[in-house]
Amino acid sequence: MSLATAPLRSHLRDGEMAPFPDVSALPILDQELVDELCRLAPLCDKDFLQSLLGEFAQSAGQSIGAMRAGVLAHDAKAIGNAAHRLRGASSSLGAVRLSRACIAVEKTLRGSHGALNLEKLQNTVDEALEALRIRFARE
Amino acid sequence: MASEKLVLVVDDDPVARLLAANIVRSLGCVALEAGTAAEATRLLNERKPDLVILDGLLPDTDGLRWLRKQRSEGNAVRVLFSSAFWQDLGSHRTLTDELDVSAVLGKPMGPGVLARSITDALRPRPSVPPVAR
Repeated sequence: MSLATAPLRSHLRDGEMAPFPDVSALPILDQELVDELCRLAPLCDKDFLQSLLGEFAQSAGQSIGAMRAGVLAHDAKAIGNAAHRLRGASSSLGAVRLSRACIAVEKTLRGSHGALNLEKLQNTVDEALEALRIRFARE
Repeated sequence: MASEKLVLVVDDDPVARLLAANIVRSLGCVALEAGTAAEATRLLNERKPDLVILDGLLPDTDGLRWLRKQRSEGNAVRVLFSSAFWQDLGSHRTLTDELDVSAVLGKPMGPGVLARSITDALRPRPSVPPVAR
């Protein structure tokens, strides 16, 4: 089985595979919050929005990396902590679809069953980054 | 708002910290940043900030425990407590009643909410008339 769709084996019974939560109906970004960030930019440090984007990209990469390591080690706590960090970073920037996907990961872990589709989570990170990049470039 | 107020932002999430620090600066205040409780304690003692924006979950302890320790040592610094778990009413009452937190902010919060909360928290408190003997 590929790491991308690894179940949390220590928590799974045979055949139990929860699908990756369908968050596609949610907007990628909370436009209201992102607009607020953009309005704040002129009052902030130079390159404020680019710094935010850079920190978010780095933080998200670290969180996904920690989840991969957690899956390999069958360490549900490490995966949950990484999901919580990613949820926090994404919600700060209004990346609601990603934030909801992270909440679903945390719920899956608490429910002691489910599957973690890291490939889809990575895609959700990428689409959030791209949407923010496009939005911030307009400023 | 009076300028040059010192505000300590304590959050292990670098995105949230960067955001809060910039909001602090946009209000004409000086932002100090800590990613751990240990660093927060050092900055609190060395720089004596006017306000602390404290995240509920830190890598080396939780915000509630950290704040309780500061209060037990007599530190009366004003605090805005931010947490994704603010719905926990038990903690909310502990924070406002027992630990004298200026406001509890639910994460995620918009920049405007945080800016208004900082402004409110830094307002001079009404002076209490002396008790007649």
